[in-house]
Amino acid sequence: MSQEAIVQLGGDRFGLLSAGDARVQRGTCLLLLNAGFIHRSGPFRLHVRLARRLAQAGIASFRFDAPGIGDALARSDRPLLETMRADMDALEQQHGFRRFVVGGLCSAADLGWQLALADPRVVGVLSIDGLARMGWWYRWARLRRLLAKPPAAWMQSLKRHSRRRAASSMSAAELRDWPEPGVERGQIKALVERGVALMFLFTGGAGYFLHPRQFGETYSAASKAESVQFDHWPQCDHTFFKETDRRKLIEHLAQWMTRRFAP
Amino acid sequence: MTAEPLWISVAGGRLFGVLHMPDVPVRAGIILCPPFFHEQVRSQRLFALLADALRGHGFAVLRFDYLGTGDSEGSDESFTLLGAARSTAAAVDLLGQRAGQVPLIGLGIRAGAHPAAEMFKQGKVERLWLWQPILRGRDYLEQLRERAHVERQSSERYAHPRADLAEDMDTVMGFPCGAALRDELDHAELALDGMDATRLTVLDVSAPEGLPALSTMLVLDESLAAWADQLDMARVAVAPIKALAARLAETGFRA
Repeated sequence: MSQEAIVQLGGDRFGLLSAGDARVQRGTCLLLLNAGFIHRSGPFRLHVRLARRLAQAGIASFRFDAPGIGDALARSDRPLLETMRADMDALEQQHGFRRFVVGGLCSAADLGWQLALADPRVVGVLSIDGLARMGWWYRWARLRRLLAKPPAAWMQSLKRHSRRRAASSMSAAELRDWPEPGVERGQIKALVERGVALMFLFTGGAGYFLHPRQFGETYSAASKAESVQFDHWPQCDHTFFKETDRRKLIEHLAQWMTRRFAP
Repeated sequence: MTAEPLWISVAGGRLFGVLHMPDVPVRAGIILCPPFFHEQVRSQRLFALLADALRGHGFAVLRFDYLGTGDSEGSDESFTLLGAARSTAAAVDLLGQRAGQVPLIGLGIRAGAHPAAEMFKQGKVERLWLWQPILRGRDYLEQLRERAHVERQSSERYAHPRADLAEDMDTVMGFPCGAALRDELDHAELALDGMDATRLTVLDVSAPEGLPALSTMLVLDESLAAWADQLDMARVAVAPIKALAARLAETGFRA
């Protein structure tokens, strides 16, 4: 395994480049973005382990902290997209990477999506529990789930649902950095036409995603393009708490990256 | 640059660390021994900010990840208590080289109190600061197992029933914890009353069992202590951290 290298990004920011050797320098680099407020090593060290698995396949990855998260002590007024694009510039200038796969889990998926739309150097998006709309298939899955329970449990479920609604009136779409409903259809079409490879994975921890057909309902025809991969793992939780789930995820992502981007 | 990322050589690989060097002459060096498992991830931001605040009071602070944790090399399975002490010793050596001829302080957080206390016992650090220390490894392991059980049974975490959510002895709060580490934690005991109290500072919500009378006790308020019991990540408030750094500079260390 090649050794990981520290890359300075300016100010107090830095990141760790895995597989930054000459063999892969003209290849593609995966940017692992922060999952919420979790610093660059990822939930349960997921990013570190993924980076090292990818390095074995000769694929570079870079894990780093956005301003105000982890070791990036100073917060910034600069738009996050601009900061991320400047970080890509730094990786291009210092290590020669000109193609990037971006994304990650939850908010990282949202940011990766925006970055792909904003920067033509992005050739792939990794979206775990990213954008999906709660349409008819979601409601159908909810109803089916409720009916699968004994009648005595229905009232409990309804009460729990009411309590949750009372406690938090914000929907997933309002809490997340998502475009207006429907806009994503044009966006995915543009990305597919640009040749961007898209990997979507939804876990059972994404409470807004209950049925696999929500994917097609959300993204329309472009969701069936050859460059789009979609998987639904309802048995997994949002942060891959179980070691077996993490191993499965790392292997899944490594295979997708290898198939699409190995040098 | 106020924080310098670096690698530290140790048998078995390289440790990742961040050195916070003050702009003024160094008054003392602090080696920050992080907590274990999920607590290391949860508290990373808090202690990065504390290190920066202590730097502002003239301390050189080195944060690092034990071998097999965080960004350091080594597999998750390679992490042991003995390995944590070896990692800490290597980090102390580097801090000593960079900080110069100044006193060194071991800041042990939660279970990180054990490698920090080991450095104190070996005379590699002159003072010991313990943050919400875990005194008995066996009790800690038991608490984490109970907590992991709650997580595995949580319908919030697992909306779909699954058959493989029974007790998993080889993980602790989602992190691998093999037989060697379990055995070490089972036998890990920290006796505060056997320590030189004049060089001991404890930071906690209340005085832990056996705290010697002559030691210094800094009471942590909720904003700095609650993280150990929480799972959700949130932004960390800076003001209480700065206030604590000032208190530590004043009462936890007198040159």
